[in-house]
Amino acid sequence: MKKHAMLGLVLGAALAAAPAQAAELEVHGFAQGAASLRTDALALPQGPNKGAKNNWLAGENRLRLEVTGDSDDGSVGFVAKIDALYDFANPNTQANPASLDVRELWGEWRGDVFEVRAGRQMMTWGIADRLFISDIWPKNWAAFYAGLPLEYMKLPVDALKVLHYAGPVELEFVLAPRTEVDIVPGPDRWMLYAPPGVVGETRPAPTLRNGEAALRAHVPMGSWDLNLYAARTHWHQPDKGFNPATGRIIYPRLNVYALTVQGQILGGVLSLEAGYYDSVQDRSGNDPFIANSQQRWLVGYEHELLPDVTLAIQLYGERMLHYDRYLPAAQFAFAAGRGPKPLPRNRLFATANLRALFLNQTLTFSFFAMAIQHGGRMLNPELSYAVNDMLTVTAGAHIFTKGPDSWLLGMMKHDDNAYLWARWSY
Amino acid sequence: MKKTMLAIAAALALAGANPAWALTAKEIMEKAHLAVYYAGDDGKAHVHMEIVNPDGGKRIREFTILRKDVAEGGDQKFFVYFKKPADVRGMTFLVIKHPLGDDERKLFIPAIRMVKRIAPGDARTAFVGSDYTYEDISGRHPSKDNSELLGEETINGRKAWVIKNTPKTPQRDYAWRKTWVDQETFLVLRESYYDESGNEVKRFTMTKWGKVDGFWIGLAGKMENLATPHYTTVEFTDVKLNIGIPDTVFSERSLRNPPKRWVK
Repeated sequence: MKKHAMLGLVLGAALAAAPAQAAELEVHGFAQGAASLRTDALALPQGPNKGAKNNWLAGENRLRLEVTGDSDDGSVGFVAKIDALYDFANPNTQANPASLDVRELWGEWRGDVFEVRAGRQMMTWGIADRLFISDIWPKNWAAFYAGLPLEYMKLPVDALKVLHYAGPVELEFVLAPRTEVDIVPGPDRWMLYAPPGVVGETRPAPTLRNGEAALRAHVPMGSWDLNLYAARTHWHQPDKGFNPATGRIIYPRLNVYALTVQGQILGGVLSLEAGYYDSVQDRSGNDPFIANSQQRWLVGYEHELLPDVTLAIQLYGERMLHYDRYLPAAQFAFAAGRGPKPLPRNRLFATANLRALFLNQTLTFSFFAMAIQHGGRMLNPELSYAVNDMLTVTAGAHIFTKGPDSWLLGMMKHDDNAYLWARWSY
Repeated sequence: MKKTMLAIAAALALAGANPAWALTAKEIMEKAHLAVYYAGDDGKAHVHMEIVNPDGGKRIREFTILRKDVAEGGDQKFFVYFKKPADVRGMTFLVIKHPLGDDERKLFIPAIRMVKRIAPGDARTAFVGSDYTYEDISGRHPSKDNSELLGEETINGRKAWVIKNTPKTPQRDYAWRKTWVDQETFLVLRESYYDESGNEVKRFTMTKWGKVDGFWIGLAGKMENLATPHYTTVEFTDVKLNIGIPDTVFSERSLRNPPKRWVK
């Protein structure tokens, strides 16, 4: 309620500040139906629907209303993107299938060298494809693995954002009072086992002290782009913190320092990203229940192989920084049966994404493959057809292969799925 | 005295017979390249494109395009703001064109608010799924072709040079092309693309032109793929030249937040 009051205030202020001749309003949106089905009809092993033969990983209809308004001179504006959502495949029959998903709701003031945006907004940082180092913003992995449109992999953030343009340098400062965490596939729909001993989760309390603050600086260097990032944030994934005393998942404090470099070389685009993840609540690295500090790096290269056929490859690595302290502590703690096997020091990810356009670019075929060292593989072929200017139909599949049960993507090997969605835009 | 008179008479006779002899095919193509793609130092236009398939099915693309020349005949910057269809509305596209090297392209995807750099592509790739290629939209540098003057013809009541252009590096979708260049305006009135066996496979026709801010420019055209037969019409409205678009418009800031004043 408090939050909505804040949004209302922001929008009200933005509109009130608009010149009297006021704004031009644009109203658009779409109707969308999406279904994602597990290919094997297996009984769920755990969770509230244990034993249920539920194939539906996602089944939802959305009606999107998108309203944008700008003052005549463009100095003030707002955006509202709201989905009326009907989740027709929620296995939890107690839940109300109808809800409102407020994707974006913000007001903005734009000056010569400053822009201020307040409200619920989407934030995408970094340059990688489905791998994240500098992008600390929350994700919906359940939507991603179910094959919903890629925009639903992003979760919005309620934040105040200030942009400052100092010559060619662009500075972005974001203040998010409340920590939003990732949504991950859960045992209510997926063939997943919750880790033993977990009774719930505790999110960081929405206090100013717990707030997230992040800074980005974009520095163009000739035809190359350099971005520097610093963030005071939290781990947003549920596997990064656990309180063995209470049995609850926690989201420990995290500082992230990262940089990206991107430019053209040998007729393709080269992307470099590196980051230091400073795990504030386990700086010494000897708490096995809180993620160790990490180094992360990524090298990506994208090249057009043929006209309308593009291949992008990425190699990404994570390295634990205090493994010598983590390992004995983890061996000791987990030996008592309170946790999984200790994690390896390094994890390497490789991805390939092939995209080809046919029929005057109305038919898009893409094939995304990801392999994780010690962690399994995923294949994601997808076909998308723009029937006309309004209707797009997309069909695809996720195939998980190999890998141990305890790890992404291996733990999802019984969740191979096929998905279909159609969107009619107006 | 008599000798001088003769010389002048001879010169006049020659000039009257064919003033065009002063220009080589290469020079004509260079002037056409400047007239078609470099009118003024900058400019904006609203573009309406209709992509028509053989069944008569029609797809619409509408966008505002801003252009600024870095050097006459050389590098240029383009900013494209898409208005239609719905699934690309609000998308923006920034191109730094290097006529003799790889272009730099960045695309802003509004749904995830992400600026994405696009790998440089074949210049003969279709632009937004139309029958126009990237090269048709942003220009092909005349030094990439061997040009030969075939003669003169009158088309649509306009006197034109007819020039055969053969790419120095083979192209995937045509072997050579015939270009009709207006003798007064240097605009390309028509261009026919031929395959190896001499069949016409593609044809551009300018359907409307006019003088804007002191420059002759094309205002409408049609590109036909004769084999399919699939075609695209394009119409430019609200064209303005030499309007002083600042460099800052061609930046990442504009991709994320299109400058209202220029794209409206």
